Amino acid sequence: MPLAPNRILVLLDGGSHCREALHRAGLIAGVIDVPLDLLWFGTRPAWEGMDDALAQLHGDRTVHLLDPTASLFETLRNEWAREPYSLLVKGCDPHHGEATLTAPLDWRLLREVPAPVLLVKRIEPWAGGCVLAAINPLHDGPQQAALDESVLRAADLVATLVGAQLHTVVATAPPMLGAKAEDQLASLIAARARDATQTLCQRLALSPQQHHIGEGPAEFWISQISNDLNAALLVISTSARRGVRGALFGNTAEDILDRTATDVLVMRAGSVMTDQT
Amino acid sequence: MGFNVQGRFRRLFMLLGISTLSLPGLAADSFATEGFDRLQVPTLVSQRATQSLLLDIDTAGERLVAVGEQGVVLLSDDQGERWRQGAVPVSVLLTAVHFVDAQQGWAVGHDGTVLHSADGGASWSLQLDGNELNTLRVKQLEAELEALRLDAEAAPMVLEALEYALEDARFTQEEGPHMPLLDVWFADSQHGFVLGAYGQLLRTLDGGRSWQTLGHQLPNPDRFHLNSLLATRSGDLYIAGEAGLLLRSRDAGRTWAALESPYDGSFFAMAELDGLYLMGLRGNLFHSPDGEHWQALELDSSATLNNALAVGKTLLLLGQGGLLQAGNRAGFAPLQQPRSRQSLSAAAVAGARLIVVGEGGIQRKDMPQEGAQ
Amino acid sequence: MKRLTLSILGLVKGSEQLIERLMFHRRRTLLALFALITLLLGWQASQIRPDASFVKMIPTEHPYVENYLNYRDDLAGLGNSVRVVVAATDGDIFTASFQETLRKVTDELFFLPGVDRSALASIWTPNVRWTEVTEEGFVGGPVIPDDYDGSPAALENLRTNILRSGQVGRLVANDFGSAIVQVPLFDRDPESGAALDYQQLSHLLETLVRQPYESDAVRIHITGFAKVVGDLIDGARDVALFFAVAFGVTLVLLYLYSGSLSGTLIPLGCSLVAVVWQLGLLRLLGYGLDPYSMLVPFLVFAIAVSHGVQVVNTVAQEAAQGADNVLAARRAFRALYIPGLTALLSDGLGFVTLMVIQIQVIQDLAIAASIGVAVIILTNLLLLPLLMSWCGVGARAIARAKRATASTRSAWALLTVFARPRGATVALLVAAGMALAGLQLSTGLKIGDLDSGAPELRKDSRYNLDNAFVTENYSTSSDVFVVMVTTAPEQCSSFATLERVDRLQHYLTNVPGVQSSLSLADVSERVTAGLNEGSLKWRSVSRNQFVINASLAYVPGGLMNTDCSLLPLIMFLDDHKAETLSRVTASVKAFAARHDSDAIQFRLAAGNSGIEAATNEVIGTAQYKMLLMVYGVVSLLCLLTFRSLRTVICIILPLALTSLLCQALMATLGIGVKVATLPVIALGVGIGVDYGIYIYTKLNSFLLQGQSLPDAYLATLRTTGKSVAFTGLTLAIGVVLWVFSPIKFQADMGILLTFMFLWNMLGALILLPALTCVLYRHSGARVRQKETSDLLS
Repeated sequence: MPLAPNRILVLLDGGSHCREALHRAGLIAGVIDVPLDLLWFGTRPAWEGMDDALAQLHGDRTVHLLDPTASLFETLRNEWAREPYSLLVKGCDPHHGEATLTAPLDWRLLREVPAPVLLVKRIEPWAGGCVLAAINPLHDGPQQAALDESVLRAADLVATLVGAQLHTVVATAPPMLGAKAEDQLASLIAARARDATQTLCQRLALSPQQHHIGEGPAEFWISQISNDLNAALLVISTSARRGVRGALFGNTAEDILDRTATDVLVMRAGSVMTDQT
Repeated sequence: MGFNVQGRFRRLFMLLGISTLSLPGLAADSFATEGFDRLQVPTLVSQRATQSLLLDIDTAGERLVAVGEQGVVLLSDDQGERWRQGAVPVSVLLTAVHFVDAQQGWAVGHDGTVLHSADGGASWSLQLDGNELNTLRVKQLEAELEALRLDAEAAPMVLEALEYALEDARFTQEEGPHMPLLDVWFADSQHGFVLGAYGQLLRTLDGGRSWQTLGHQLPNPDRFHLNSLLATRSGDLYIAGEAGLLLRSRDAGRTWAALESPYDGSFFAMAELDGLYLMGLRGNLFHSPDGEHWQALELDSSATLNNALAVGKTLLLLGQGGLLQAGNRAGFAPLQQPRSRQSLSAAAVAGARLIVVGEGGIQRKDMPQEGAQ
Repeated sequence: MKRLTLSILGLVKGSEQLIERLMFHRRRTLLALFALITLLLGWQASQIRPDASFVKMIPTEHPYVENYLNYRDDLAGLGNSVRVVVAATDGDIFTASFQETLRKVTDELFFLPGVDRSALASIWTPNVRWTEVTEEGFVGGPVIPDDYDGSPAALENLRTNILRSGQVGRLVANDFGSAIVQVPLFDRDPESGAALDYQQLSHLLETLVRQPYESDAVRIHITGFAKVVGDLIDGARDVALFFAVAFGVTLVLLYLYSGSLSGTLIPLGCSLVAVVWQLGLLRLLGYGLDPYSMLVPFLVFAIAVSHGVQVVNTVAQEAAQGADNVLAARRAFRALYIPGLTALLSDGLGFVTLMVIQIQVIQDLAIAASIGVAVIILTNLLLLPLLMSWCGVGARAIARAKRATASTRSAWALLTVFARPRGATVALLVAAGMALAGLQLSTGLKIGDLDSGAPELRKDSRYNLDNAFVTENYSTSSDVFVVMVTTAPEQCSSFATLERVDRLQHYLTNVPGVQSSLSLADVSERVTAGLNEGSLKWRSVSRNQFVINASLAYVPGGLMNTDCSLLPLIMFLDDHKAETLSRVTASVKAFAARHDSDAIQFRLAAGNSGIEAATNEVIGTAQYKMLLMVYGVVSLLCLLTFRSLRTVICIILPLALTSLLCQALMATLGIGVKVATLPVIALGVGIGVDYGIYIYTKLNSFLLQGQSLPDAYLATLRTTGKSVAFTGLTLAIGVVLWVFSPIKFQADMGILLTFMFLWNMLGALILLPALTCVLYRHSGARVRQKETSDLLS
């Protein structure tokens, strides 16, 4: 369901990257001029250590402080029901181990929140940097194609809005011996990926600065490129596997979180952003 | 030659019934396809025939002829070096053989079998079998009874005996063609006798084309088995049998008289060397100059004596457990230690060799030295 | 067809992605799971027991064996039995002390578990009697009378009794130097229903009979199937020792080759885990270890090692290109997924096809091998990369790999001559010549036992020496072939029946290879003669049924059944060579074809030689059926995976050559094809197909990159070829040491396996490229272009 840019919901808990998240959310809200709704969660006392940041925010921006009535996710659902938000911002937790029984909070957000989620790690502005759109044009299926499209559009929108360069990054599957030739030769795989990326970009009337085609698995290549380029923002899609499937297989977007030093914007199915300009 | 892909085809052939050299007798259709009666099925031609149970051996001129189990008749023309089988139309146990000359011979066996050969044993024809034997006995006895009944002077005892004999013959006929014949002797190509179990004695005057039963006329009321017939140089005929039965005929077999017997066990053979020798169960051996007065001879064995052969001045004794002794009434000694415990049935002389037959088939031995051992 | 294969490939790709994701997302969980399963199955495996059975070795669906099993209860003593010989070292058996020993041994054997007590026979058992004819008729009695007291008079009496009993050559040696106790066994205990425990029986025979009673004066010899099996099971310790030697050799050589501790320990460890899982699963499914299937765990180890070395090698190559441990392991997993899976699946499915052979030992072996191979998929394709993702191959191995890729010269360049047309043709001609020679030699391949005694054990083993003693001193051979004559109840002693049986005996005694025979007809003949004072002239089956009935008043056990509907005709053969057995069966079949009727049937077969005849027949056809099925399955799977008939030919032909040459080797070495050796060649196919598939896929990837065949071949040799060569050589070295095993079966298998390992390796390294060169020579360049253009369209 297409979302008009509505309010931006910011989750704060006083933990890591909390300030960066608030700062970033403020920047975004300023650019696209939408209200900011702040939601405190977690065990720390509400708004602790945030007074000065909050003060900076207030100005000619609408800022609401929400009271968490119930559990975080219930609150999120209620908020969504009340008035859908177009973006969720949160500071990225430093480490998401795999040893826990239940998924880490960030992963749950990526899986369950219907809106795009921005996990913030950096304080530097995005302007002048590069925005990486991570797509998988060789993957079969209309769902993935729709996700790629939404990623590209979102990346392009951000790049245009903040004045950054748009790059694409594609992680190809490593070669498999004995498979069809096109899956066996690294050179052929890379060539196919390049063609597909260019076709897709042409179709969407986008012209990224550079395509970074490399051999996966995805979380290795994408994070490697984002770190090498010192990217400002990485836009990636997720299949949002939940429950048992999520526990078994996980999601690539979640695996990237720990490997990359950049902010990550995660698009999910149904969160196509319309062209706003 | 191994069991292999090629070998499988051979096997297939064998299964289809096409004979190969290694399978005895299949080529000759020796099996009746329906109903199998050993009186009607020819003998099996086999490679191990010389190791069959053989019961008697005789000479037909220069040829040796041996008979035994399953209708096996073996011929040798080279003093026992090589043997071949004769063509025999039956597969019964043949117990005795006698040749009057190089061509004419007769063999008898179980199931009332009387076989005749006119070519020195190479081929045989069935002259009498158990069924015919039974029929001819019944017919002959019926005729005799009929004639006797019409005779007013017939003694009642004789009549009764004849009735009894006829009843016995009828019972035997019901039992089937099972009569074992145990010995055969022919004076010439026309006159001969066959004798066997339960007191059977038959005579032919025409070379075996027709037979008359004489068993009922013998002084043998208990129907003891007649085991052996001996024709002496003086023309007498002796019959030795079960339970010490000893009969003699002085008129070429028309009438027979019972003699005093020195033993009440079975006699299996008689021989003539320097007088008459009578032998049988458990090593019993007797000697008589005249057939009436018998003297027991000592043997160092208690094995049953099956047969004896006079060779020059020596008598060879053959018996159970491989007993083979030579000597005369002065005494006997073993010819050689029995190597195997297989019993010996008969022997014949072939040149410088002695051919002995028995439980293990044919053995060739050296002739004993002349003179007393 | 193309669509089918493409859709299968799609499935394979999809499955790989899922599995890869699962594995590397939840590494620790998966490892814990593997560890848990290994513990569980390890505990199960530790409880696995030897499980041998006479019935398992015979083809139960064969008509002969079905007949035997139908009448098994009536044929006591003609199946599974053991003969214990008590021999006097000095003098003969007629001494009081010897007789006392014999009596004690008989008693000892009477109480062993699994013994058919009513059929136990020695001169001390009451069922062995003597008979004699006197004026009064028959007299008889047990050979050892009640009043036997060991005095010289009693011993003299004993000698006479033995002579009169006809047991000389049977239960008493021809030279009176020893006596036998015949011990028939139950396959299943009639009271408890438990299967016969061969190991326990053999152990008891040693501890209760041989050890206590052997002395300076007396020696004990034991023969029989149960003892062979028992000795084999006892020899398992030696077998395991030689397995350990092979393992040790592999360990050392692998370390020297890879230069990496983790790259040595982990693949070997995973291979061992595969064996543990296999044994554990077998135990869970209720199977035991049959001594004739002792090869299978080692085979599983060998196949696992081949795959493991490939994986480690690929991990090292990826690491040399700069990947970290996890990345290298993940890429290696993906790279080898298809060839590894194809090879193992074709192995597994190929082994499953062995189930068509109707012999349970082989069916059990098929299950064991298939389970083993399936388990390798989990341990060496999943667990191994998982472990490598933590440990990596180590700096030294990575340095070696880098050096190898950097250097341009290589000793392997010598072999590239086979990738050029001339060299390829020469190689193929030589191979064709060898194939012809192999064909010629393999016609000498014999089915069944070629020697007397037990071929699984050495000629100078205790068992074979004992067996030689029996053959030398006794007349009844141990090769017994029984024809079962069946009639309506109470008709087995009718004249019609006995007459025909008599005829059959006479007929059969004249078949070369038949030593002697025994049946109810013989009893009737002899007793009829006996009833007539022993006169030989009466030794015939009487036509008079009353006489027959009188002659059969006392029949020794085993010559007819209780309701007189079964009459076994027992033949003693000169040997149990396949030719003899096939002659005998053909003769009986010919006779039966003409004489079978509603009233009387001549059924094959019982007795150990009768059953062996059935087994030989089944093996004769089974041999080729087996190879056909295994090759069929493997070819089909390769075809589905590689979508090219020529590829299949390139992979399969070298294997076929190996199988052919292995048959020729068996023929030259005098190893007969028996139940034990039958599956060896089929198992060898499983070993070899791995090499071919790995080499081919690597070669193909270089070819697709546009390299010429010799260059692609050289590149393959320097990477995959090296591992293949190493694996083949190492396993061959490990296995060739088996020649020194005291178990001849293991030594024979060692030679065959060495040959197969080496030849499979050579075939994959030399013949495969040669075939590729020849088959693709004309269309080589065009094929590559076609492939490339296909995907661009």
